[in-house]
Amino acid sequence: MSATVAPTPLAAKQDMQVYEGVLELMGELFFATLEPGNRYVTKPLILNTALYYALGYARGSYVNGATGRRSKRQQPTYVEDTAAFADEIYVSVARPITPLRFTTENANARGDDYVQRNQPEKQMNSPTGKIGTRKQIQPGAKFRFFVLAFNGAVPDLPVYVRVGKKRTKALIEWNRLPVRRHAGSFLMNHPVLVDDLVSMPIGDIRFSRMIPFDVIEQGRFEGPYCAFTCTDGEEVCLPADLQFLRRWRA
Amino acid sequence: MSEDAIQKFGATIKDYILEKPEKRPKNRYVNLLVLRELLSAARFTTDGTEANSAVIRIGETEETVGKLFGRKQVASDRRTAKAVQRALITDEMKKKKADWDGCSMEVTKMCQKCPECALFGSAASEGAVSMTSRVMYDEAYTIRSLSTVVEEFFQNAPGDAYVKNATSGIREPDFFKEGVLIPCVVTLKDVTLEEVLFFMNITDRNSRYGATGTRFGKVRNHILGVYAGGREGPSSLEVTREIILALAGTSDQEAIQKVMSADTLDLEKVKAAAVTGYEDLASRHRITSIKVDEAATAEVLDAIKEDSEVASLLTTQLGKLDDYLDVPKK
Repeated sequence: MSATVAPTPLAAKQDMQVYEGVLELMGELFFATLEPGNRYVTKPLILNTALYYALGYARGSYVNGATGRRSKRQQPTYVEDTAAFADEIYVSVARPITPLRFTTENANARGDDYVQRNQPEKQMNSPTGKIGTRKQIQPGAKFRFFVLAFNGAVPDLPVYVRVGKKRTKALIEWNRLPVRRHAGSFLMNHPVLVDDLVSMPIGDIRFSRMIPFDVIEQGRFEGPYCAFTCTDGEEVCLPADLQFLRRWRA
Repeated sequence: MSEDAIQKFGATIKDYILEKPEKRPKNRYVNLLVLRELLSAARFTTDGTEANSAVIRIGETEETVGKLFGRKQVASDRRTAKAVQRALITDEMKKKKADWDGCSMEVTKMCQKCPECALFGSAASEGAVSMTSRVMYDEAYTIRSLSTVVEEFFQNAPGDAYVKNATSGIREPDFFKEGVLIPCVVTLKDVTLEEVLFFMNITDRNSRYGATGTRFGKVRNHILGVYAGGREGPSSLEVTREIILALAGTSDQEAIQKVMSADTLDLEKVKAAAVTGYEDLASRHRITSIKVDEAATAEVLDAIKEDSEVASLLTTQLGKLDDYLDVPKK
């Protein structure tokens, strides 16, 4: 990934708006967060890498090729896709706010030939591979995330989005929250990508290993921060200088 | 006459379809409201035995209902679509790709050249190219509760010899009963008129959604309306909730339970409730769209009922795919 934008300290920006998005699953959510063998596990966090695309802020391409002739890997283009508005909009990671129900189901991708073997010729360890089990989150679960808009940017707030490997429909309820800005020691209590932060927390850290980027779910910081009260009364503090994949842009 | 219906349809939704498929998303949505009606008992399971289910909440009532996974709808529609292509455009495809073998539903063996692959996508293939699906399904739920719509059957496969041992061919799988109604919303994103028509034709002609290994699961798909707009429409789950509330008349728990445990439901009432429910939800969420109602949709379906019409649609679409399928070298 190449750097295309020079990072601007967002703390310098005075005008800031916070929108709270409460996302309700309308179907089963599946991400391949962990792939031990033929089991695919969904961890209950929706990364902002996914949300930028789901909300329509970043746009990918419908047809994607591999990185090289030898490799079948595909290289995501998060930094390029968000270059134009990285200074104006920040979307946080979404975390569950209701108890979750999980189900595990079998996946078995078969062809449509009339005659076929019961056992696949080659079992592949991938979520699109042939036989496996998927641990998924049941519909009805609610997740919360925030969209921070700077400098008078007006983000589009869509009601329905698609998330997950199977592009599950989700309904979002939006609320604009009044923001308070402070500086000093604070406890960040909403997950953000490690790569979005200017500095690492000084203590009280809770960390989650995720793909493609790891997440800090909680941590004590020193510096400028913004605080807001969610519609259910929860107080949330976030560093004021967050920027999507800041470390990649530097 | 038939040309007219298609032209009129195309003109109505023209702002929300594309002339040619484009690589980058544009937020052009065509939402289809479909009511799937089971005409024979069907098995929707993942483990071969237990019916798929989910707990849903309608107002204050929590109830377990039957579920038709999104991917079960996808798989069945795609099988039909692939088969239609094989029957209708094999010659055309061979002109583009001499060794075209009819394309496959196997995840790693899709041809990624045919109109079906371009529309429905292909995540991982041996060609190291991935295509995002432009058709998105919702998980769909039955209107009545699981205990009302599912029946357990005892299956015994003893063979026909006169003298035999007891075998293990005894199973008790769950079947969804005939008459079960499943409201579904399917979204097509950034598609051409040909793709909309192809999808509508597939939905109209596909009549099997049960487990492919069985002979059961006849389904009739009623397309209740096509809604084209700049935003995605409400979900199947919400439409199901709205139908239950409309049939119950109130959000009173007892009335809801009565609807959800009814032996049968009136198809016409459910259809009307689905349409009203969908449109109410859309307006509540400030989603505006251009509507083509059930009658007008039927006219369009009528115009493409002949195989020759579908073949010409697919051929036209195939001609529009060259740029789309071209992957730039890095």
